[in-house]
Amino acid sequence: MTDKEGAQEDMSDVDALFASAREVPPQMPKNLEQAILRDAAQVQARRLEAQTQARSGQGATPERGLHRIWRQFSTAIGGWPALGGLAAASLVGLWVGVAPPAFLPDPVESFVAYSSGAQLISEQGYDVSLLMSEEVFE
Amino acid sequence: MLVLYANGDGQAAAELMRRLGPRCFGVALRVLGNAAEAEDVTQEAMMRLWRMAPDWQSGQAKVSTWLYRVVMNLCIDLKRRQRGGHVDLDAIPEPPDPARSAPEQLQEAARQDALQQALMQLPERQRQAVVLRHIEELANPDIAGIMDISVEAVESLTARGKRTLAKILAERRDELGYADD
Repeated sequence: MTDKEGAQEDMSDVDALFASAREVPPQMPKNLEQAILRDAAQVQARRLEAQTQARSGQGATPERGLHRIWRQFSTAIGGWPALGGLAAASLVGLWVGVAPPAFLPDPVESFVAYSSGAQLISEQGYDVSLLMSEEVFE
Repeated sequence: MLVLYANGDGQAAAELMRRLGPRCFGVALRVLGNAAEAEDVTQEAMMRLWRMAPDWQSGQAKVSTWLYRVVMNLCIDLKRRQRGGHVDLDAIPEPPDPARSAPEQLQEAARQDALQQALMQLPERQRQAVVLRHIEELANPDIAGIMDISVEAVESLTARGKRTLAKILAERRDELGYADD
């Protein structure tokens, strides 16, 4: 056999090996198939979720009127916790006004005790005629 | 199919995996010579396919060509990271072929082992080009696109690679039973 014939034979052996490799390709392990499909499902789910969020963001109608003002106000003072604090403080203030503690003068009684505004003013040391004069009001 | 997947079709992923997964795995296995590494590369390449799906534009290169390129780049990256590491040839599984008798299967397995061992002796770029040309049967222009080289360079790499393989395997001709064929 010449060198050329020998080389051709070697090449045909390699070609036969290539053909055999093509004929029986390596099998993918089952766990790899499952891992690939799991990745695909996760990527797909994340993408669909992002698309849904983007669509719902675009479809939202803008708030109008009092609702918007109320939301801006509540946001400005600190949201629902701040609103709760404001409501509690208002109730305490009302309660102190209606039923004050013993060491404080009763504001309701002090007003009811005077029969008229003129009496209240005169008892507080003001001169009614002076208050009513044009010079004072001008 | 990729567009279907991007639009949320649940079955499209399974079909893409069935068509493309074994090709990725086969190439990675031949180039890396290690089943565990080939699995990692295949999973990562397919993950990049899933992420890229919404941006894919029909009219671009074929999906398979794109994927081969990703696999090759991942193989190169892996080899760069593990320079000086060993090659575990025993990790390569040999698929059973029920149509052949047990002695035939053993001889075929020995021949495929010999081919893989010979492939692993080639320089990395030659090995990639030979696998893509002679096992995946891709056209030279496609290989040039995948490897980012000229068609002439592909021809040169595959010719030199095949000659080297023939030389390596000629020394084992009797052992592999080719003298009897």
